[in-house]
Amino acid sequence: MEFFDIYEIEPSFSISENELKKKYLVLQKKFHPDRFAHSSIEEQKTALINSSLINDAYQVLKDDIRRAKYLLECNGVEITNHTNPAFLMKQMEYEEKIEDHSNDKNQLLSIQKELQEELDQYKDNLTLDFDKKNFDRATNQINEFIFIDKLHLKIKEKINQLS
Amino acid sequence: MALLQISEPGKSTDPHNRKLTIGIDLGTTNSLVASVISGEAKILEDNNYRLIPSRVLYEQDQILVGNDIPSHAVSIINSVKRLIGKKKDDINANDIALDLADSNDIFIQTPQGFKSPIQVSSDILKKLKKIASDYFGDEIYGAVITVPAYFNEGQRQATKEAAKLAGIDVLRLINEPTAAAYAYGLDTKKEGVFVVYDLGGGTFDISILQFNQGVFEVIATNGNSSLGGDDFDQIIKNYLINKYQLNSQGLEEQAHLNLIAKYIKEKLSSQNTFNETIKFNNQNYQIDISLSEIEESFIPLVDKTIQCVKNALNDANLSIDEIDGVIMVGGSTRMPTIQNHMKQFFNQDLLNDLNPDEVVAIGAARQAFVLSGQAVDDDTLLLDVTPLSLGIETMGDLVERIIPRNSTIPIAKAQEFTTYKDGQTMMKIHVVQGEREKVSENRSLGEFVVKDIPPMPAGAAKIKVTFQVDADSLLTVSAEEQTTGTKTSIEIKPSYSINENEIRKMLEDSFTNAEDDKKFRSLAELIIDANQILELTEKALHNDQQLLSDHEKTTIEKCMNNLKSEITKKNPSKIKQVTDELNNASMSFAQKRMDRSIHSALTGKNINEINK
Repeated sequence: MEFFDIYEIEPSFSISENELKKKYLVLQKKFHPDRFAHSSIEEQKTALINSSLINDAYQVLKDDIRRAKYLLECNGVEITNHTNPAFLMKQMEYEEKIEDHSNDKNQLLSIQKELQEELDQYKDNLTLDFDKKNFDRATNQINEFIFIDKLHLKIKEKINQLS
Repeated sequence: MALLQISEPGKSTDPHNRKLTIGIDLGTTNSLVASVISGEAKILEDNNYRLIPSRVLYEQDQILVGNDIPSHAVSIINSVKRLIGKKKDDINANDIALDLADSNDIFIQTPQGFKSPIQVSSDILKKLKKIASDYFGDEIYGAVITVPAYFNEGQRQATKEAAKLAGIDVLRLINEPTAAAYAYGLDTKKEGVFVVYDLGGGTFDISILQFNQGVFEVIATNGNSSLGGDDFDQIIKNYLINKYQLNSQGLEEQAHLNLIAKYIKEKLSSQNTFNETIKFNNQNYQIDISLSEIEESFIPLVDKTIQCVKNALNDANLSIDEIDGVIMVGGSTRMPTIQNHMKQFFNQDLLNDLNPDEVVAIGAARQAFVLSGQAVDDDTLLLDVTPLSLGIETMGDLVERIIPRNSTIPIAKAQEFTTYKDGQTMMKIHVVQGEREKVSENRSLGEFVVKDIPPMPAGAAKIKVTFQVDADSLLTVSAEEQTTGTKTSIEIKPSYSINENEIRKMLEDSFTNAEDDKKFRSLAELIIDANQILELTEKALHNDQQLLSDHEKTTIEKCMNNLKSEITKKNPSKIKQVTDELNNASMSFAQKRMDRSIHSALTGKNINEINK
């Protein structure tokens, strides 16, 4: 839970992005190598290690997927790639839907909205799963979340290309 | 829990113990040096010139830089920034009006022998340092040097080496657009998201920054390190050649036309037509060009920059209406074509309040002052990113990305490797930089050889390799065997740049040259030197003559025979001259030999450490 400790926040899936960002800037202002550019070589090395760690932790904590994976890892849970058949069907339906409407911006926008709602739902589920330490379900939810997130990105790119 | 190791930065700075710091904008066309004087960042002038042309002239007995070069001089080295940290394959030799050595590494022929782009850059830096130390009448404590955001590892490393060679203590390399945003941000105190459009003489950068709570955070950067104002000059030049049937054969004519084209570009930045008589090849030409007749040929270049802007916006996940300000940097952004296109693209007025030629140096000077710990009430901070992804070669010519582009620096990433043979004690890791999937399509940074792995069965060793990118955006690599805790050593064979022996040699050379009063070294010393190089060359020929073409070998042997005969004649200046000739003749040979031997420029060791 090192990364959460650095940011002095309780390990959990739901965190305030604003608070995290604020804390990030405060920490970097204190530990960044620029603050030690005139200090001894030893202090400069320490600053490099500290600042790198603060950056690394920030990248993990601010990203939903990486934060969830990190929480699982800290709890000693191995992430498996098992997907249930019902979700596989859903996957294929989405792929087909996007393919069928690949030139229709309005349709794509409405699919995007659908996907966004799905993502929000997964986030709620993950919050609950981690709070209840239901790691098996959390693993399952993350795998699906990753897929929906990829689709969401893909559709966003398509919309950008059309506009 | 002490996760972060505490060490408080030196808080109290003795006001009487002033540290003179400077900011250097080492540009393709012009360079500037600035410093914070009584709280204000100011450009330091060179005999009333604010811009120091980035040009060097090597004569037999002296080196002239910038404004010191007489206007009629020929064989001037221009735009060396386009060459720094590059190989011959990376450049279009036709674009560069210079005599280059016949080797893959770039060496420029001068009356003082072959010079590497690092040496030429270091001569410009020496001049800038001298302007500052003359101004203050004191030694310079340290400098911030700016580089294009899109410079790769090799180009950054080479710039830092040039600074070392010039005897400058580099407090930090910072990105040019970041320096510009810093100058603007401190000026206006306005928070928000800013785009910096930086079209330099030979490089183009786009950076998107967020200024928030006193932190300038770069969100994304993109660009092209071989696109700049010079390319617009080339278009004008070719247009002139066609329209007026000019004879452009020869390096001198090319160089002269470059100057004429630049002059016309500058004129057309403030007026719609250019009508002047120009002297070229001892003939007068009446030149009449309107902006509208040439503007269309600029469009492909402008479009290239717009593509970079779009890429950066995409990486930053931002749309145009989220941009709070657009900062224009670089003299070429005065061109109406660029101003109009950018205004239209961003749908807002551009920020031009600070002089686009000077804003980078001003930002660098302020940052140097802050880094020296003297800016007591200033707690602003720059957080920059890596411009290009770092990865390693995996099977089948594929790249595995370790540190993605636009990662905030400093950053460290560890990766675990294992052995595939019983008792394997060495392992090779090939590091590349770039965004392509295939190794061969990215830039190779070097091969890291992990040595001293304790012998174990295949797959048992766990070698943790850490890739550390520091605040200068420079990479170091370290490795440790996890099961035994053995610190394995790493040797690097960079694919670019020179090795440290050569830097040391150049450093020694520069000290020798600096001591003007010691011009005439004793005959004894000269003969010792001469015999030493003869001996070294003989040994090298004995071991590695297969690296040389017949022609190269004959040239070297001829120089050796000349030197042997001069030593017996005991004429100091002759011996010196022929020693230098042999040195030059064997330079590319030495380079080839070095290329084969493993060296360690990437490990971040500095000159002082090597000299110990």
